[in-house]
Amino acid sequence: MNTTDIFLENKEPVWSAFEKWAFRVSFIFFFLLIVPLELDYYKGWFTTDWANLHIRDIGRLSGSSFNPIKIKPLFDGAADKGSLKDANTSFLTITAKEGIYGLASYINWFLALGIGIIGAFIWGFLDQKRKHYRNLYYFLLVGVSYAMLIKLQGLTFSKVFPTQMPDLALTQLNTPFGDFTAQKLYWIQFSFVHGYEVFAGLAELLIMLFLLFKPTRAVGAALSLAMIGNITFANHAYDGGIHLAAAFFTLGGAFVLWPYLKNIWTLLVLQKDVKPNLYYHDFKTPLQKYFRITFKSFVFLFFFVLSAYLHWHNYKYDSYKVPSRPGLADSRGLYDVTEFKVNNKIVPYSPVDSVRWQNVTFEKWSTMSYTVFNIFLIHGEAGRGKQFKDIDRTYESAGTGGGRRHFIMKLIPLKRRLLSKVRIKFIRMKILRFITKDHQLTESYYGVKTSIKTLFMLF
Amino acid sequence: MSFLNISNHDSSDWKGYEKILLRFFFIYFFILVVPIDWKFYQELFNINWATFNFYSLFSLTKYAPQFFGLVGYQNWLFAGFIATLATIIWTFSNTNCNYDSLYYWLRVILRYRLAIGIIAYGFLKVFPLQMPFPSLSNMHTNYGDFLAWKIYFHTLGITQGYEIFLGAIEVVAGTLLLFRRTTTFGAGIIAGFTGNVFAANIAYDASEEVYSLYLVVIALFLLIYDAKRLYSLLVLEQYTIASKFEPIYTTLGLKRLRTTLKGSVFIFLIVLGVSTYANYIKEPYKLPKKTGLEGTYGFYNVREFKYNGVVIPYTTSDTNRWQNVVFEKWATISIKIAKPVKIDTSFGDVYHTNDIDRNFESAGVGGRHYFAYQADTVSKKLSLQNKNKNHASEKFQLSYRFLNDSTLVLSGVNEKKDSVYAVLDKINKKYMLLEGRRKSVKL
Repeated sequence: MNTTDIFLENKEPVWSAFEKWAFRVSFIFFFLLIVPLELDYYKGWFTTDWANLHIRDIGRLSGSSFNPIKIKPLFDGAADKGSLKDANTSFLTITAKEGIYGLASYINWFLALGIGIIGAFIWGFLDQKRKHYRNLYYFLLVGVSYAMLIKLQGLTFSKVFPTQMPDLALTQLNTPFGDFTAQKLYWIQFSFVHGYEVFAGLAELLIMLFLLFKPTRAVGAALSLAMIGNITFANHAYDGGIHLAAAFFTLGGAFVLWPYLKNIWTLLVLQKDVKPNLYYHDFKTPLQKYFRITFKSFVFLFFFVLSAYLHWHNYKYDSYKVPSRPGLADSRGLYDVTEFKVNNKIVPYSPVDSVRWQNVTFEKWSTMSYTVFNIFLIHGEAGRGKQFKDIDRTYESAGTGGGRRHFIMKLIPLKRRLLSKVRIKFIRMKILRFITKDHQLTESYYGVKTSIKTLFMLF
Repeated sequence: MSFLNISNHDSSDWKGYEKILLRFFFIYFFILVVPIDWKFYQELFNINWATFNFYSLFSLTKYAPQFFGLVGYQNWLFAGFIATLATIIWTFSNTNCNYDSLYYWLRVILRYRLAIGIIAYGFLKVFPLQMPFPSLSNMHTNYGDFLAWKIYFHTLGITQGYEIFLGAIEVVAGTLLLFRRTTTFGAGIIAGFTGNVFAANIAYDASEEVYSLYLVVIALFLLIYDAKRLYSLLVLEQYTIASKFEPIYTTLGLKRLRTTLKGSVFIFLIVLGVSTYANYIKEPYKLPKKTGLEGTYGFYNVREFKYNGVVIPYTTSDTNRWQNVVFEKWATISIKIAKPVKIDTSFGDVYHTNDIDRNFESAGVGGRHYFAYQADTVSKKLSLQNKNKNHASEKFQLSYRFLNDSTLVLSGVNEKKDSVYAVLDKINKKYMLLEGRRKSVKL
């Protein structure tokens, strides 16, 4: 599209038939992608508990994804979409062989494009006399920019206050490299370099700020295209699972940058002087001015200030990825299981025994894990999202194999004994779909544990 | 304002302080970028073209002067000091020169220096040599037993396609620098890309911090040229005057010099690319060359173990008892023993001819003991030597015997003449890393 010539300041431009058609397609396509079309989204603004806000709520109010066609995961626990919420309604569900990672996962984009192409012909038929759409184009660029920065805020602030990749759990430090999925390794490489995580978060914050203001919008779009474009590639390479969310920033970045490109090319490569001639809507009437300022301030206060505050609060007091309930006091550590009995019969140590525990970790929080030599059904989930209940917070164990099993503990004080004596009740983490019929954890398992001091090279 | 805007064919008006700055930067970058260090020529003339491998060329691309044993940033300070002195002398000696030309040539030197540096690293990833796929031993090492840089390398090494993609970005950005009109695009990509590499090097302690910043600084200096124009065009949205600077080569000698230099850079890069590819195909330089003993590749549980004839049952605390053994595809064995490892803190990133010195697999990682071995398939003997320089005295003379496809008996003596006897059972393990997330997995 010959966009920069189109945006002549004074005289009304005339767009070619192709330019008008391409605009109509883009408009419908991006409209479907950025404007929430479910009633639930709008209801959310009225059903949110504003007195007890949590970042989960901001995520819900940050827009929706256009996905009338559902891709059914081939197995349970395969689908995780982070904070992106599925629409309740779907008119078609398909089970694609390449699942939720390949080209098929973009099916809703193709659908939106298809609707755009058909819609553009109808629109063109009804609107034949139109010479140009420069005003609408202006608002579409602004809309895409705002959709990008609003959708980005969760990822930004969960890195600025490093909770997206929280501290490594002891279980992770004691799991062999080959027992993690590629996705998990991609994520946890940030878990021990929080400075780098914060740096990445600040880079995303810069993109958000640049996209919010007109003079910096082109640079913001370019940064978004480059940085999140790279993340899109990485998500495909590692089966990271949020390639769709990332790809939106890549495509949006390219779309917002497009009108500036010709000027940049003319100036730098062709070495010709340039008079920028981008068109901006003139907010003339007081009502328009008032609306613009209110809307912009609202976006800033809600998605920058409030979101930052809530993420900080979560970082400081909860950190939703790992269970919030503290573990057994002073128990954090790696333990060698020196003695092990099943029904009071000693089972000697063996690395190839499917029942005998080899070692145990206790975390700062209420998770315990142990290793045996056994076959488990492993879920490939990433442990993302902002789970409310401790038992749903699977970040530390998701995407991890080997003979390691993870349990959440409830500490139950025994009334008649000393207060410091506690009985530990293990609850199977319900998200982890282990095969347990042959392997019920009962109190007849008894492990005497002696601490072994382990120095980690990493620290 | 001449740093930022040479706007027409006439020579531009350089303010006094700009001239001083340009003199400083010219000398400063000249010292840092143009090979004036004799060690460069020593390396260059020591290249043995008969046993030529790409790494000799690659090390040339990493040139940065080293003064009197100074390390890292200290060399920059020293160059700054010399440049300051020289600038003062230059300023007071009242010599006149064409500052447009001076600036142009400085940019030419920096463009080519940066292009060569970034493309060389690009090739190392396009032909994924820099981050090889983790070895089987490394897959059997706990996450916490790696140094941070090794985790960073392995996390890239598991997705060779992504490594190639990152390498391609470097090659493309470097190529854009070879042409004057696309320089800003190349420098912009490198400032972002290598800027991130620099941050990662700090975060993961990955040894290339100084060199990556060296490249970033050059990229930023090249970016300054168009910064004001871009600011005016994109931020202020004002009428913006383009740089119309075209170098004019007044003499035939100058034209020939330009063609020769440009040609040799292209030839150098092509030779570097081809030889890097050859190394990747024939013998990835970070891994040992020699193939391992046939039919042994795998992870083994040590079912039975005797030390000086005495059976030691399973234990994770005995410092003599082998717990498990990995046979690599190449001639390396790694053994899990409770004996502590004094970690090899090098980065395993240098080319070595001998397998024993190719230590990428054992550098920056604890948990296991790594041995290079010589196999004599006639007398069925293995001769093991610890690859870790801190444990170089550890040696085993073992004979091997297959009980069946998956059971192997090793027996012999160590360097202290203590006898060892181990029965190894191969475990057909499935790895989450290789099974992936796309299907439901039973491990």
